[in-house]
Amino acid sequence: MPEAARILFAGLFTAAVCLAAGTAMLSRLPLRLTRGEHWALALPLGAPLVSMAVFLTCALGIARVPVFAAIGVAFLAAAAWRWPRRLPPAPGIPRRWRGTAAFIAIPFGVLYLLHAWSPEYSPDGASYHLGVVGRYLRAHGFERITTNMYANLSQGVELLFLFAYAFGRHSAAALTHLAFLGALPALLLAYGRRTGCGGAGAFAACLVFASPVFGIDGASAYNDVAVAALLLTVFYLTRLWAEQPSLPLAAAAGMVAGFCYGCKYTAFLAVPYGLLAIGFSAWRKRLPWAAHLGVFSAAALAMIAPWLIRNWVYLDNPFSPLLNRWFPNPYVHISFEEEYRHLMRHYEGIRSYGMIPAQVLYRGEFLAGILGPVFGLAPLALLGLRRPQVRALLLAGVVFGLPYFTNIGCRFLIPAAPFAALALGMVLTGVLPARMRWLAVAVALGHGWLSWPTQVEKYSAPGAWRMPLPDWRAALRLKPESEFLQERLGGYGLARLVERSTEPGARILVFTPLPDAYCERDLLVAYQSAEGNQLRDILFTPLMPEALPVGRQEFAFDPGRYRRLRIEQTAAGSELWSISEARLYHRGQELTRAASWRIRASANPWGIGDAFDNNPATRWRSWQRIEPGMSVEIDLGAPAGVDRVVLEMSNDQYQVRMRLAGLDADGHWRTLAETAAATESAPVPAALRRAAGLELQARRVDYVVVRDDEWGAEDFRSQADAWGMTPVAAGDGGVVYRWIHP
Amino acid sequence: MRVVLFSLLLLPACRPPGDWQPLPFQRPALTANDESVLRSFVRMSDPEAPRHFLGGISSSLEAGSWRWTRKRPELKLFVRPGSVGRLRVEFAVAEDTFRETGPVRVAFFVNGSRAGEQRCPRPGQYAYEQPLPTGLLRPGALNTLAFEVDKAWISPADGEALGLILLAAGFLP
Repeated sequence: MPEAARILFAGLFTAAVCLAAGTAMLSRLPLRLTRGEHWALALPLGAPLVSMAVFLTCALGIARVPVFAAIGVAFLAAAAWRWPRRLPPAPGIPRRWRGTAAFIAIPFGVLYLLHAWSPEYSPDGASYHLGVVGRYLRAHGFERITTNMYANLSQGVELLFLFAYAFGRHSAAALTHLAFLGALPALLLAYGRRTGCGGAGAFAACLVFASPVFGIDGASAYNDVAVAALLLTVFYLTRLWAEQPSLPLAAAAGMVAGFCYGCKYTAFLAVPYGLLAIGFSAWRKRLPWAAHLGVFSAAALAMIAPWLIRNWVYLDNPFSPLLNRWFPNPYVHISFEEEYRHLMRHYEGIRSYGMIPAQVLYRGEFLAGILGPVFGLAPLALLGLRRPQVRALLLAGVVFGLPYFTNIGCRFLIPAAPFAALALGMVLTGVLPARMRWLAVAVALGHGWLSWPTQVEKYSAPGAWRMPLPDWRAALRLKPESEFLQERLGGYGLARLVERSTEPGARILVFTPLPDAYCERDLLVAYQSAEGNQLRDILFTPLMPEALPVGRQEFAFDPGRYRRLRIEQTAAGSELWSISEARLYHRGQELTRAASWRIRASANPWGIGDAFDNNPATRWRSWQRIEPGMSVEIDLGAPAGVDRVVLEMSNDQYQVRMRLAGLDADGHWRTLAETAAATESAPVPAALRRAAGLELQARRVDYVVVRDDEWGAEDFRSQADAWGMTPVAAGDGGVVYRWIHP
Repeated sequence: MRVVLFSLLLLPACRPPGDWQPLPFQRPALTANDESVLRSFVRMSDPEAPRHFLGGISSSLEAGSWRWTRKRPELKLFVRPGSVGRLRVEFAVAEDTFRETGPVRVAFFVNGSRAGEQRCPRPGQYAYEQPLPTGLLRPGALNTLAFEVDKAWISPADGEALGLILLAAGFLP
């Protein structure tokens, strides 16, 4: 029980500190707000300040509990110093809506609280959201993580999680996110009341709060609901600015808009939206727009720049893991980025966009989560297009919903859904004839009934991401956390096994993510970084016939003396180009590779050594689709006789076409061969598995974890000695291997 | 100011990606004669499987997963020190040969000593797996594994003997 109390304290403390920071800020803004508005806006306004304070502690390497405690106390003291007094009450809402809201808020609130309080077992929360947070806390600040692309994303909400995690670990982070799930309906209600549509606000609050995907996401250590609350805050503040324009308010709106980017890249649209909204209002009111937009931009940049700089310093790409074609770097491959983006747009099981409505409304097995069938009424909001309020909401919803097309998972509708819900509420409570307004209450109650976990279970598809009824014993830690996680979290047992069977500081290659929030080891997930991609490629080369370096492409040409040789790609296509080894010959003898040789490649230049290391298990790969002009170049240091170049290649590159150019002794580039000739395949190199294993050892991989159901698992098990590995632990669905000769 | 900051952000993109690099460390070639490259258990689909054959196994891989054996196939396998021994042989009796031979017996030999026997009353797939007596295997050295089918199918065309369909064989920890 003391553990449960500590967790609850940590979550409440974090939320209170954010509220305090927001309160202190609001008290300095020249704004006339109602009591409800003040408390609804305080959390999303304070969150950027607290998050940025945590960012500073991480940058300074002082992310420790006492420092966070001091920050928390400072914000609480600032709020107490500027405690809001005499705030006017908000306009009332009809009694029927008070009852409806309470009818939904109380049971769902208890449900969510118990879920968030229970040990965190959400897929992303238990892996990268909190895995990275744990690493920061152990390192007392930012670590240069180049092997996990998720760590490269902006982490504004995760830094709030870090604050909570320091006091109460995983569940405290989920409780922090839950605070945003509380703020979101409060904002909808407050905005509805401000615009004279209290019923609509209550309707939207009910829809959003009870929605299954909002519930499971908001009660887990994710960040989508927090981002939705922040986007709604940007909308709110720009509307307030239109009524009460001031530079401080423009700064506050800019800060929250910039923080949206700081929480999730896809929320960057808050910045252009805010600029356009304020710019348009300023133009209509004939206000000095430049000053207001300048202040808005500066505040937004202050929130965005730290993340750009961090990524620039650590990863050579301010927008990592995106835009790698613009900012080439050795940490995320261009081909991976393209493939990942494609996967996010094309979920498995979704054969056409026509399947999406059913998926996001009530089925949910392919797009992870459901909004609830009642959101199918959202198009009715279009009936209110004649009303400026509805138009503004729908416009914001469309803008913030645009990134959905980059990731069609249900939770990527969360940013737009509150706007649609409020617009729908305005139609059902304001546009419909008075005698039909009971419909809105019925719809809200029906939504609540349909969204209760036992009901969702009846109509959603098996496998849909949804919340089960909570285990209150787990929430109160009367049931051991490990027992609960073993039941609910796939891979938990294996993560613990890895931790028990490896030493601190070990680098462990895994092919499928483990819940690394529960494993304090350096897990190198194969797909999450360029390094991981390469390690997997080396390890799988002996297993995949198409990856074996048995193909031979030969350039034969007139003997001559050349200082440089350049192999140029002449084709365009979807395949990657790779070379296992490039060998130069003169009169039938291979030229000995000399220390004076230099090599380079136009694509993936960091890996070109793999084509010249005499290791058949490694290969240079372009890691981007082939295009004419790509090249691999060898500088021999001084002109040398060459009459043949042989490329040892895998046979998985049918589109590749190459020509060879040479820089002769006179300094002139000449085309030596327009095409390469494929010669007879070579035998499979001896001891390829051992070569792959040795290479992984050389690249400081200490262990390899293979799940029993993963491709290649049987080979690793039965041929462990051929790889040079031996199992050190097995169970919980996987085997931990280490090298026989470390 | 914004122009300066934006320009700074673009700086990484200006870095030439094609810098010259020295040659990396040259890995010494691993050869098939190195005992350590041989395995204790080998699957026929493995590209390196033929290195383990001493005789009686076809060089042709069928359907990407199996090879014909003659009457007495034999393999050499390297057993690492410390790995204890179970013998496992995955094989099948083909329906076509079974029509001629009827039920067959397969006897297994490790380092020349008889290690077990499997009766095959029907055509189909079999997996023989038994712990080996202590002392039969030589840890840290090459070991031989042979198995002999009592009746082989003889091709009327060329007199070639076909024994079993072999999928995998060797020693497991």
